Amino acid sequence: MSEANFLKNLSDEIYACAQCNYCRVCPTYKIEKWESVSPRGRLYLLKLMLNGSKIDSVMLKDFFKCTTCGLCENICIVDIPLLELWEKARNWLTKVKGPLPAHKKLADNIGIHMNIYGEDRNLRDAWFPDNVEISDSETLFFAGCTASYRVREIAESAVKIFSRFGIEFNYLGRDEVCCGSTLIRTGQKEKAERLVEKNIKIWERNGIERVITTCAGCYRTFALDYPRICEERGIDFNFEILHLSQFIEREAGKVIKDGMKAKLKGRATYHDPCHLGRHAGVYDEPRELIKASGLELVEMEHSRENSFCCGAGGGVRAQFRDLSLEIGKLRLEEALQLNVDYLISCCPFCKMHLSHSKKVSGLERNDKPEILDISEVVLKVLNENGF
Amino acid sequence: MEIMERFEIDVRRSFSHFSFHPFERRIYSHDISVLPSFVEKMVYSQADVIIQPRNVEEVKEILRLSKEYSKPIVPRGAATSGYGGVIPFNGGIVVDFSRMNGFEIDEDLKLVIAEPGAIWWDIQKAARKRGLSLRIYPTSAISSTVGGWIGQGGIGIGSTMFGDIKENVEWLRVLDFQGEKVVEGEDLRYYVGMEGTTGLIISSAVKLMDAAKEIPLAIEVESVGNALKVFGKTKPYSAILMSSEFFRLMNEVKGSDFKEKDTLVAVYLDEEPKIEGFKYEEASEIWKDRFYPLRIKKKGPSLVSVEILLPFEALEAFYGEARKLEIQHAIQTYFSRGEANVIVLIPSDEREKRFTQDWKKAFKLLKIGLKLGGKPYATGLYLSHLSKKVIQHFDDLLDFKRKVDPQNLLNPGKIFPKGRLPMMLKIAGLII
Ligand code: SF4
Ligand code: SF4
Repeated sequence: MSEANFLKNLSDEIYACAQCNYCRVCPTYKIEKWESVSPRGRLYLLKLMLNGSKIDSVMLKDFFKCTTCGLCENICIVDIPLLELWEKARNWLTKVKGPLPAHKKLADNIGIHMNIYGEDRNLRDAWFPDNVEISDSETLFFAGCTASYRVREIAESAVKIFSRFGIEFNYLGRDEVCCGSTLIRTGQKEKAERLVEKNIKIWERNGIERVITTCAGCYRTFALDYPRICEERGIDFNFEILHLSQFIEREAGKVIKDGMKAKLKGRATYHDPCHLGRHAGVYDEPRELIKASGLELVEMEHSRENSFCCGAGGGVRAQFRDLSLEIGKLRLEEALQLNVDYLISCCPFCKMHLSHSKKVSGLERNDKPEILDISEVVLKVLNENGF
Repeated sequence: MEIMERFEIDVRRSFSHFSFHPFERRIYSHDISVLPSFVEKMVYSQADVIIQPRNVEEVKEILRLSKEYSKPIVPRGAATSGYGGVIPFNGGIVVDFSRMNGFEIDEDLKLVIAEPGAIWWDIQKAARKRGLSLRIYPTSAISSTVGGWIGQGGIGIGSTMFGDIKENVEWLRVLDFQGEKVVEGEDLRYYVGMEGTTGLIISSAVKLMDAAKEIPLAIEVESVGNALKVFGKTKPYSAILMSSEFFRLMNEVKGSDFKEKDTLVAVYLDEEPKIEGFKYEEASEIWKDRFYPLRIKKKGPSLVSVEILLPFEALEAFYGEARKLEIQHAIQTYFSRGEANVIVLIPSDEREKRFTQDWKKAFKLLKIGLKLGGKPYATGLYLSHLSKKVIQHFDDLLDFKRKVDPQNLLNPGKIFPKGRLPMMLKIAGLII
């Protein structure tokens, strides 16, 4: 399909932009300060393309300097569904121009190793603790690529929490397959669709009815993208998808709040992962758990619907590392202003990236704030109480 | 070596933030206006380079290069205006001030000293933390810049009490080819509202007030005269008359349930006046929406608009004429001291033929406004042929311009008509 023809379908959205620049809140624009990477600049580029202009390699790259955080959509005065628009445009640009090099690498890694990092598939379950039991429960714990290979303490904490509460769960170990989130976000939806089918087949084979994950990216993908893709492809999708924070709050929130006498001490702030907060509307459960743990919760300047991205999403960390770390530093600075002991998030990718940003900001590992995942906070409070 | 090549080498040597990329040059060569395509073709031109200076020294270097290579300078804030003021109609250097966005608040003098790229709402947030507040700000304050609004001139939120932006500037620091100047008092008129045609604003001292509680009231009014009476008696901080059609369109795009009546939204500081008549519960929500008049663009997807400064006594007649237009439109009138800025918004569709027709109607309204003793809110590039007629002391300003910028390199074509374009636009105005 020619550039102009594809874009015709998006014409109403593209023309609706008032060029008001209220979307200057965009994290990429905040760092780079060039309109070509701002939401209104991207819309202007699409408008030019709609009228026959051709995109070159520089502009193509700029178009992908977007973490798909959704902050622009939240602020847009004419309610343009920007996230959907970015994703459609990326998908189409990738079809016409091919994926950016780092995004292609992600797809290649998944194709060969079933994980985004190109790690040995046989080591996917290497984090799994010895003393925790797996059952053939209809509840599945899905660790995801990042918690399986890079931030293993999160996956480990999650299954230990299940075990302490006597919650039976299944885990697929080496058979677990990447959810496809990064492929969808980087314009490679067709490749992700193969993973959707694969995952659903494995889940059905194992009698899974409910999937719990600690990863905000996996959660968003399972909860929002899978049903949509399944509908497009005429596949049934009958699974309950929960983020760990939702599940724990529902099943054990009260016990943690009222039953755990020893409380954690200190001040904490919560970083809403874009995929869990703005994309999926999960804001309260993680906060409830933090408060239940005894930590004093204070909010950053940008929180909940207005939360500021960590900088890693949308394939930005993979393709534009420096930019992603600069965005991460901005987020970290907000937390530093509050003088908190802990910066807590709900996503292994956010934890990994914020920790990396902390390191490049010159802060030591032990310097405040300590960056934790909600699973670690919950496990800490259980440990404090000998639970 | 070609001149352009030498120019490029000099830019690359002197600056760290610039772009020669064709798309970037294109994107920095437009503002929020969309005109019928034949008019756009007439005014379209592309910047040679975009430079984002980080400090005054770099702005000085831009002036030096401009003179050396005879390249026009086009200063740019957030480009949220629609008069073509930031369009590099003769090519040249677009100076994007977004990296010069710092500001300091002087609590004792109740002033904010701001770089040109500082954003109004960032200042407001910082001022509030110190118990202070901006006296006036534009409805685009969430993204628009101090330099941009001072350059454009005009009235905004708070103008009912505090007048236009010129009355709220204490002093300016400007740069021109002769060097740096501090401007205050009467001389401000050579710079405020002059679109950077007489010098580049590098720092502004803007007046602040003690923060006060804002009490918004929404009062249904039967006529414009009625609205004038209410705010004449009660002296609000800010007063906006919103037409029933405006609320109808808002309800359609927002799914809100505002009463579709002509309504005066008046905001008082600290004390609520005693006003007879109906007050809406939704006043706070309407007040919060003051930043979002462009929401109704969703109806379009394009918007045709006209902004006219009218004396109070002409308002009633103007509303009457506007309502005779057989076209969906909304009117918002911002009251200042002695005059009002009337904005007519017409949802349209630039992809369709009717777009030109809608512009024709907008121009008709502008002409009616002029006949009633009004003047365009700004002349910028598109209406520079009207400058001599509508700008006070135009000849004095022109003399000043010639003195400080004999080569006409500072934002040429804006305010002061240049070449054949003003005539062509005048003719286009007659056609559409
Ligand atoms: S989704 Fe986030 S990163 Fe992407 S354009 Fe919008 S605000 Fe910027
Ligand atoms: S906020 Fe929406 S309408 Fe305004 S410039 Fe951004 S995308 Fe366009």
